[in-house]
Amino acid sequence: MWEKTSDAKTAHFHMNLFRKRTNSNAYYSPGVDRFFAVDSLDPYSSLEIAQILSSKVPGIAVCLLAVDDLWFDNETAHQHTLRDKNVFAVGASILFSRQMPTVRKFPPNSVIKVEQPSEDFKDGNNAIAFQELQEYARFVIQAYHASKIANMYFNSLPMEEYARELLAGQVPAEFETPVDNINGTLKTGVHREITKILYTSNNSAEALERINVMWRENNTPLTLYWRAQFYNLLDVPLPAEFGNGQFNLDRYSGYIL
Amino acid sequence: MSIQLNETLYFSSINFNGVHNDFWTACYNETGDGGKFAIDLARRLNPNRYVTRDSSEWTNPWPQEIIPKYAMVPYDSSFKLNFSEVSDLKALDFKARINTKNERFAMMYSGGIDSTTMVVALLKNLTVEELKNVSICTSIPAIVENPVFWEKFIYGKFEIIDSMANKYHDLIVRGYTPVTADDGDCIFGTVFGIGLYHNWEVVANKAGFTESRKAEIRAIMPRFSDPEVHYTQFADLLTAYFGIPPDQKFPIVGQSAPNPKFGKLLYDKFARNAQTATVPINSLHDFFWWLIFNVKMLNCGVRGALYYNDHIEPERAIHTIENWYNDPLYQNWSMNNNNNGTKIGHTAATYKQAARDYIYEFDRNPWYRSFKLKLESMALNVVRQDIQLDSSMGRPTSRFGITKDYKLITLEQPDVQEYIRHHLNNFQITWSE
Repeated sequence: MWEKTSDAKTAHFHMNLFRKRTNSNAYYSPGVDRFFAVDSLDPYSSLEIAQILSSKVPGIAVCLLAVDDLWFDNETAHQHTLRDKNVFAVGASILFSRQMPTVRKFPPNSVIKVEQPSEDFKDGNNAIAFQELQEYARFVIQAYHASKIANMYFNSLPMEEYARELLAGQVPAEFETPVDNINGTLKTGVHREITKILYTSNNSAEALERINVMWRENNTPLTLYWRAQFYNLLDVPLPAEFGNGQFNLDRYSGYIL
Repeated sequence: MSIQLNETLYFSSINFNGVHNDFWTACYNETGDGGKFAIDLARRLNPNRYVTRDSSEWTNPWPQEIIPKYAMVPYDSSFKLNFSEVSDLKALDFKARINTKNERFAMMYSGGIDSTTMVVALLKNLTVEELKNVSICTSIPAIVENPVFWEKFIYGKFEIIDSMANKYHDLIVRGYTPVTADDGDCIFGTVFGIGLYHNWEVVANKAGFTESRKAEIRAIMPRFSDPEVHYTQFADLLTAYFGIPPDQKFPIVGQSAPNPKFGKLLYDKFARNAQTATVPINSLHDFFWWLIFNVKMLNCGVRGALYYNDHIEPERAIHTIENWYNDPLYQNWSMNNNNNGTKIGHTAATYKQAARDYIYEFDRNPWYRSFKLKLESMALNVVRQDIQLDSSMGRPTSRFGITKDYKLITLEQPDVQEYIRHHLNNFQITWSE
């Protein structure tokens, strides 16, 4: 269910050729020598998604493809690879550069279609592992964007971000600088916690269960609509335990104005 | 018993805050038109904490009097001081208290216009030595409201206290006089009015106004602070604006639709209060200003003491916390400067113009002078405050009011619930037909 690209709900929020382009950004694994996922949203997010996936796969290259290059989607990504694989990005070839991902813009005709799977990933454990990578990558792309968009809408007080990025050196060290204003027990902030979960989970089921636990443990008034939008954008039904709209009033001061 | 049925209150709060919605719903469904009105007022303008500060006509369900500290000062039409002079005099009062009593002040600084005015007044009028008795109690959301002012005038120059981690009781225990500008809106007007000035066509369209009527309003709305355009010329618009919308977020179980008469009842109540005011009320902005200057000011004055404080008894907290603008000079400035553009020009951009000018004279920041907006700074702290469930004052969401001897009463107390029910059931609508 995670194969969506331009037809995903999250695509409403991005410029992607009017929801038609499927592979503006393609995720390439040098070890497998195949693309394993695509999206058509912003490249900054693609890099962050690749960073999340770097817990599973080293050296991911996020390839920003030309509009007149081959188009493919998540169903066919693994049937495509780079024509020239020895591309340098920041001083090293993408084939053997770093654990952390790289981003590179590619000229037209950089992609070629290949009928056969990569030799070492034809069958056995590696074939299964590659299939699981594809599935998890698609899920991470959707979950990341759902979380990022929900954060954009509901984190109206990104205090830690302001303190770190815009007020560095001008905030007393003892000041509280919460990442968001949900007033739960979570210290990392909702979006950062979700990305952490995605980084360390093994599959979508595990990640979704851990995300559920996070919402449950931070069931405050200000997470009510936040989590509802997260699940809505992810196209996953709101878990039944959250359907009654109840929240923990011990974490709520009321509206005193 | 924590309260007798005939006891008079100094503060009361009908508040839909999630914790006691069921109680208010039950009251609503069992009470009469008067009781329903009082609860509907909280549904429209949550919370309902209104009480008059002078002799103007206003009724509450229960016996209630104004805390003497917040009684309105007599209107003096000969008052001539301008906003800058008043602000400087206020600072000189602080200067004297520092020099005679070594008093230490914790200024609640939100970065907004009202609290920046306080800090500017002190920076202008106190010496470096005297400013050592002044601390700035603030938070990240406050710093970002005016980061340039923070960098140039506050950071590294004052003791800084984190207002997210320190409630009023912390400051009082540490020997400070907390000073709040939470009552700043009261001397300038209210965003409740600005919301109508900006968005009146949507209100008129939803209410089905004719094109000719909308044309009439369109012609006079730019003159909302002109005393020649009396607020009664907007009576139908105000009635529509005050009505409870069908998608009201505080539903009453068992009531399928809001009371369609509520808008008229509320307009009549505010208008009756304005008609009997001790100050001339003419323009539409006068009308809204009077609403917050009179019947809402008690809430602005004491909500910090009662809801952002978990340990200091109400009487001490209320009388220790200083409301910067609850001062005879500011109050009389406010009563004497309607309709001259010092409170507001034509849009939200000039709301609190006199204070913008006062700040600009000091910091020369044209961005702040021209673009700053009134924001709900205070809400930023309280939505994420630490709720101390073991507090002797009970959880904030349960605090219903204080009696005339400053005894805190909460909705957890059965006799308080009985008191509320009794008086709601006997509350009569006397201001409207």
